[in-house]
Amino acid sequence: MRLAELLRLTALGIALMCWLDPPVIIAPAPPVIVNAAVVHSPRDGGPARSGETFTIAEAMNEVARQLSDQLAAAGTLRVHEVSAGDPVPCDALQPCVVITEGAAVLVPGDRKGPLSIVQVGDGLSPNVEAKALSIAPAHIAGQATARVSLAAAGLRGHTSRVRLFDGEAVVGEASHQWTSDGEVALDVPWWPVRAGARTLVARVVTDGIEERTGVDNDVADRVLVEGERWPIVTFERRPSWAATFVRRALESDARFDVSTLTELAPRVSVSTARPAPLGRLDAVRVVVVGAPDALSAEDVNGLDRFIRQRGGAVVLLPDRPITGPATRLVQQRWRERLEDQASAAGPLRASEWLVVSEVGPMDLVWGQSSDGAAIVATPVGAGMVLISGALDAWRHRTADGAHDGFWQATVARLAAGVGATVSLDLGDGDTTDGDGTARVLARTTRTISAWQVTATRTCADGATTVVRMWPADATGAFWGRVPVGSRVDCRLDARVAGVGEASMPLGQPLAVDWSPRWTQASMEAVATGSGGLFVSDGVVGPLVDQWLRARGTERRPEPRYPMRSWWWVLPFVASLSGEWWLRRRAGLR
Amino acid sequence: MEVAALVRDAQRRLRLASVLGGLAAAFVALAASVSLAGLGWGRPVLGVTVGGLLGTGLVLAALRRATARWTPSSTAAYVEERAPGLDNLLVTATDLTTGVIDASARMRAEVTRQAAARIATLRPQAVAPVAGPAWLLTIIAIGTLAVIWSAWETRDLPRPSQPVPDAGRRLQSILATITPPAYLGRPVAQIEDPEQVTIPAGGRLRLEVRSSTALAWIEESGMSLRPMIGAGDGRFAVEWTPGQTTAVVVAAGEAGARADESRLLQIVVAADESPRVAITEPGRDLAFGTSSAAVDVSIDANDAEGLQAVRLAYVRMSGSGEAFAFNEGQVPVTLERLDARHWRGRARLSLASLRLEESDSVVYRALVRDTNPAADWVSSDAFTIDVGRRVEFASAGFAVPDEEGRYGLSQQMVIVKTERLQADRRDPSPELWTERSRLLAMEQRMVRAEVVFLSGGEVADEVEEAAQSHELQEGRLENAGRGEMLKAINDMSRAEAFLNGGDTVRALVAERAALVALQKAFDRRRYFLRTMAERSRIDPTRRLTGDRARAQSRTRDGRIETNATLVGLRGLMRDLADVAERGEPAPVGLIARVASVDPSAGEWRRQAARLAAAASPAERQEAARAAMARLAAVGRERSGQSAPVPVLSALRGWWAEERREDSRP
Repeated sequence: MRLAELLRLTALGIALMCWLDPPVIIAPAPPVIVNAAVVHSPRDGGPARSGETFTIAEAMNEVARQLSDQLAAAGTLRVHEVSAGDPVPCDALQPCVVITEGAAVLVPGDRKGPLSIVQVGDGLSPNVEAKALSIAPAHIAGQATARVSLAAAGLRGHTSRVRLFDGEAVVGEASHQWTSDGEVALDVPWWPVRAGARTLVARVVTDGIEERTGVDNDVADRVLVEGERWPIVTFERRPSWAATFVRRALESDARFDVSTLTELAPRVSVSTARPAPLGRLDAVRVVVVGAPDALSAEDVNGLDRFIRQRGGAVVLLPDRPITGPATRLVQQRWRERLEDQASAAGPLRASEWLVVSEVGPMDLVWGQSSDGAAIVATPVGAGMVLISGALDAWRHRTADGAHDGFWQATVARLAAGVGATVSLDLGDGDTTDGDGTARVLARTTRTISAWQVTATRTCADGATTVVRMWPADATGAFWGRVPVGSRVDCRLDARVAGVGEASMPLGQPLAVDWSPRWTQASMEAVATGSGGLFVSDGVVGPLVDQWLRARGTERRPEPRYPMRSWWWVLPFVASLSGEWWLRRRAGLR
Repeated sequence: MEVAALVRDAQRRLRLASVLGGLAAAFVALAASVSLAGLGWGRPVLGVTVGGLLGTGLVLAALRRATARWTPSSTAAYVEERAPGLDNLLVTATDLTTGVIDASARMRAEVTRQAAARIATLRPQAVAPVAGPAWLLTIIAIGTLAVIWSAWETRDLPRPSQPVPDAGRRLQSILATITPPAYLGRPVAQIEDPEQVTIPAGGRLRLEVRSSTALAWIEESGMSLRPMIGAGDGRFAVEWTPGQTTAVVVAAGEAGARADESRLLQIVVAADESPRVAITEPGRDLAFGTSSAAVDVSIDANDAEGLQAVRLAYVRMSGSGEAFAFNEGQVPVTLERLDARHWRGRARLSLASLRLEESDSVVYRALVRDTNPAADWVSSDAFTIDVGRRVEFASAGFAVPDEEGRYGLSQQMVIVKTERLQADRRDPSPELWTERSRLLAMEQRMVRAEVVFLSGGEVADEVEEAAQSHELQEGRLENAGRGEMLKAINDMSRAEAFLNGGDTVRALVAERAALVALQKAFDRRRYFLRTMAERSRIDPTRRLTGDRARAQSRTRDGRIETNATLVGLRGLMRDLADVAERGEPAPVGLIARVASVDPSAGEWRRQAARLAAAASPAERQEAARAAMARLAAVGRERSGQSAPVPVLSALRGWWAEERREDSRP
């Protein structure tokens, strides 16, 4: 009967403890909360590994399942489905894992927590990816250059060829021979064939090899190809050979509309095409100044407004050290150097030089002579001042046209960078959700206290919508949301009262379905740079170990109530049942 | 050597020779098989396979035959034939040894002993040589390998283009008949199915086409469609005189301008080269004190096609100052015709017969003309003969420096001559010395006249003026050149006066002063500035003739000027883009335009041929894209230059200013 008593006491003890409900203080390790981003890309349906039918999407889900299993009760894995190029969906300080086959997500620069990357499937090798395309504004009558960023893996010794397409027309081509894996920036010279807002597509092909995927071989960008002549003014307070020969070089170029004002004597001047006064240079892109030492204070005031407010470019062509009011436009100290023999600075040759004593950190040196920087551009305000210290370069012009070519190319680039009085830019996302962003930038030499900006969207179906414009981050800058929807053949017209107007076609989606990608090296860099790990899909164990180790030794005490579990019912009932059965067996009631 | 050893050795060598012969036959079979495959009867691989099987069979047959044929008895008989004097002993001894015949032991030993004695000096190499078959095999093997290698090398080369009429082809053959200009005297040439035709300028080209279509024509970039005249039997012909190098497309089709088949033809027009003529003797300028001399002139002329005539022409210049007179004439030339293309001529220029006087000059030159009736006379370099006492002090017939050197050194030369005259002061003839001094004064006057001309000359082209002008390093606007020139002229006038008076000492001082002034005037610090706002010249005849009411500022069209070349290239790009988009066959005219982008460059001919030969849509698209990529490069070369310079950034500018403000004390 002792056993029966023992069972009775057990049941009583359980009942007593349940009634008392005593708390127990414990300090467990904190749970791990991990955000996992499964990155989807156009390659999801492809096989994860060569010769397997397991798709990349399935492999990524399997990795997420493995991670969740291994974490078990130690934490929680929150899985997010994102697309390539989306921001990484992780809290700033919590551990995060990106599960991807190589498609990239956007990682904020201020993110602090460890970011690990699990690469699914075989690495893309051999493969070349067109990562980015950057095209500077161009002119229909001039050469142009685009910059294409390429990333390659497993292509050592092979040559990739980049073709630039404007519609179906091949407008440029360049090639690169790979000596190692990694990224390169390739300049692709191209020839504008049509004026207006154009969408160019760079398509990369590697000869003699079959890439793992072709979905990342195209990248697109928009470019404005200008068809009107760029207004250029040459100005000389006294005759100057340097400006004369630069002017002639510009006059022979179909991109420029050159107006000239030359003072031959105090009351004798020669001009062409009625040049704008220096105080009213809104429409002008570049002003070429000969003999800057002869400029008056009023001239310099006008040029200064042109540079700082209009954002224009001024080219100073001295033939002696610059003195007088024009020194306000000069940001460096220049010293004169005279040589017996002509020497070169870039494509220019001269024997009489002005060279910069000390080049500033913001100065752009375009020509370096043997004695120092001789052709220097300096950003001033919204514009730029370019000074050529090759004083007698006009005298040492060579038969190959290097002098003329340099000045045509330089002034063209400056004019393209200055832009129109009113410029209109469309945001990249202008067709994704039916709305787009438009940015209007107006620049003028005049001081405007009250800006009046109107923008109108007009489509081929006759629908006209006024776009509300908001002040943006700079004087004369405005932005607004442009409804586009599924309409086609729309355009946006912007007008800035008293300054000018601009127009741009809308609804031209970029021609390629492009998604950003990471290379093996960049994945390693991103992961290790944040304190995370970069692993392949077969070895996710180290990731879980790292998360568990990262919990630290800090413990927070917390009460637990063990008697509140329903499981106590079982021993309670079992004890009472056992005690009853033993008593009945012993003949007791 | 024992009989059995000799026979065994010889038997082995003979069998080897038979096998080598079999191997040689096998190689021959292999080479023949590969050659037949190379002629179009199959592929090289098939040739090698068939040849290999045949050769293997031949080798096996040779092996079997060698084993069966060369028994010890037959070997002994073969040796008996090659080595006379054995008297059948070797055969008998061999038969006895092998049991073919039977004999007593004593007889067998005796026969064997005698046979051994007879073959004591025999060597197996001599009676059964293997070297010959081995060499033969080596040579045949090398030849066979060469045939195989050649067949492999050429297996990817395109076959010769379409000489074989193909019933399925519309354009079956093209026959180009080139008729050179008559003056060349060349025969008419014919080329079948040409890809390129070279024709002399002025020649006629006849293209005859065999085609199964109803029409045939020629398309040329920038030209209207040129139909070919049909003769009714499938032949079409057209004949014309190509004016320039170009590319044409010969097309055939059932309907107008819709080609069922086309062929690209490059036409290169070879221009007639001008003849060359030179005066080889005397080949320099001459000067004589009197006009009694005679000058022998040798002429050398040649032409690539043929010469027609050679002349020696002269111009006599007489008089002085404002009263110069010019008389032209010709001198008979005795010709020596080395061949039709190379002539030599000789002529005698008698100064007396030209009636030259003091200070007169003769300028002569050779003229030549080739057989081209449309060509003009071609002239040699001209040479001068001066006559007069001014040059009498030098030896007769001395060479006068060329014009450039004469003017460049003239003042220096006057000084040198004055110094010489000064050194000859002790000359016993004062009259002659004075005369020489006056001659020097005349030279000084001529030099002064040149300088006056230089300083007063009008410079019409300011670009040229700038190229010749130089800037002062200090005081750039100081115009010192003109003052130095005036000083030089004055010094020269003084020197001339001293020389006329016979005062060479003071003349030398003035001459040297003039030289110094000249050097200053011509040094790099001379500075002429004439700046106009644009490249323009003043027309004095229009002065005060305009209508003031119509005066206005110059206006310039803001649109881009129409550059016909670039417009054409853009149009070509647009049409190629259509081909790349649709993948349809390129129109014949488009192919011709591609070939004519630069008719002298083979690159564009290849692009056009690739476009024309593309069979599938993918090939057409790739061909069109390759042509467009090349076209873009050409368009880019012909457009305004661009430079990869940084883009302006307003933020950068304001930041730079902030930095400058912060760095100021």
